[in-house]
Amino acid sequence: MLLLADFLRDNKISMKYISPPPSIQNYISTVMKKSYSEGATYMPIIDLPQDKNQANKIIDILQNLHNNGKDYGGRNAFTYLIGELIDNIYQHSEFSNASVMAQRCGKRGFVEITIFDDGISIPTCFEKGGHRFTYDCYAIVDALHGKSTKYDVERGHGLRSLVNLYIEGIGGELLLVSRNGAVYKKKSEEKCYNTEGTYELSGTLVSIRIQYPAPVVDIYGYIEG
Amino acid sequence: MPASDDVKTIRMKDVVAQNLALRHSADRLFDCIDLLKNTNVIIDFHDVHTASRSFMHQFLRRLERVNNHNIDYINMSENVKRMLDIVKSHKKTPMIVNPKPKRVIRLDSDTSIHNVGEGNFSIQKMDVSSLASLGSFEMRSLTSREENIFRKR
Repeated sequence: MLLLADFLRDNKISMKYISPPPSIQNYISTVMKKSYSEGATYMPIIDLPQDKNQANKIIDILQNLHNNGKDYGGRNAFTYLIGELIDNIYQHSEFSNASVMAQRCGKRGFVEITIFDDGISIPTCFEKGGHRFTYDCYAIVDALHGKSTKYDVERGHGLRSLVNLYIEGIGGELLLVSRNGAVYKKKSEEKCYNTEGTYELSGTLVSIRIQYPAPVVDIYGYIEG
Repeated sequence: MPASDDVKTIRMKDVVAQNLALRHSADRLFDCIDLLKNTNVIIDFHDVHTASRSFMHQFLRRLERVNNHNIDYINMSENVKRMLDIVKSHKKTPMIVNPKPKRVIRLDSDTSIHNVGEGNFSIQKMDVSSLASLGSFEMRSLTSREENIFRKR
């Protein structure tokens, strides 16, 4: 949905299209209007501001919309999740547009939180730092395992701890797509996809799926020192 | 530590946020502190609920570099203190450099690339049935979720 929204933002006026069924059209327009009504199964798309100084406001909005993360592993876990993901975007991506949304599937008992930026992508970020990879998915795996593109050995733990927390601690699943690579990860399983020649994502998408409601976890056992 | 009677209290909740998440927020805080001349500073964490690892790492990093002020912090919640302790107790863990997953699934053909050793890859043709047995999230049979996240080039 985030990618569709991003596409529509850039192309809606200039292209012709066949309207989807009314229910889907309604859903798309509602989500893109950023409106939210109590009890809805989706959270509206929230855009990240270019101005870093305004980013804390977005985190507060997300906290409020998601009831302080009560059903996302608790307040600490949810703040950690959105905080680290948003911080990574500001630190590395050089984005023009970035947004976050959540979609709950009550019948199947899960919620997906997705964040997308149209920035330079993880492989490009590593390349700018002088690291080259055979496949883009290797760059993604490195990022998930704690390698930072910044020249500081103490960095890179945020994302690794996040993976640890939401996959090992809460039992969630993660899908990370960046440029020509994708990595799917859940407990005891990691799959790497090379999309070169078929698909390319201009930017980075991180999607985390967790059971809903997710039990509160003590996050500090999952965060690395 | 400068000899100064001036003390300024900075309330994190007001100056930054109740949930401390961004490295940039820590930088901004210390950029403001740096502007204060001959002033000792108390950072008040009252009503701050959480701190991310990234924020706390940057906070401590900037705190170490301060040399014109005496900085103290008060009213840290248990959550924030635990994060502070985790980051302070940082152990340098070995960096994983270019870990080679055993298998890379290509989406443009029915092939799977296996890493059989450093810098030595083999490409193996696989049919759909053999892939299907490897799990539910496999090449050639993308789920609608996967389809949604890839943009056709």
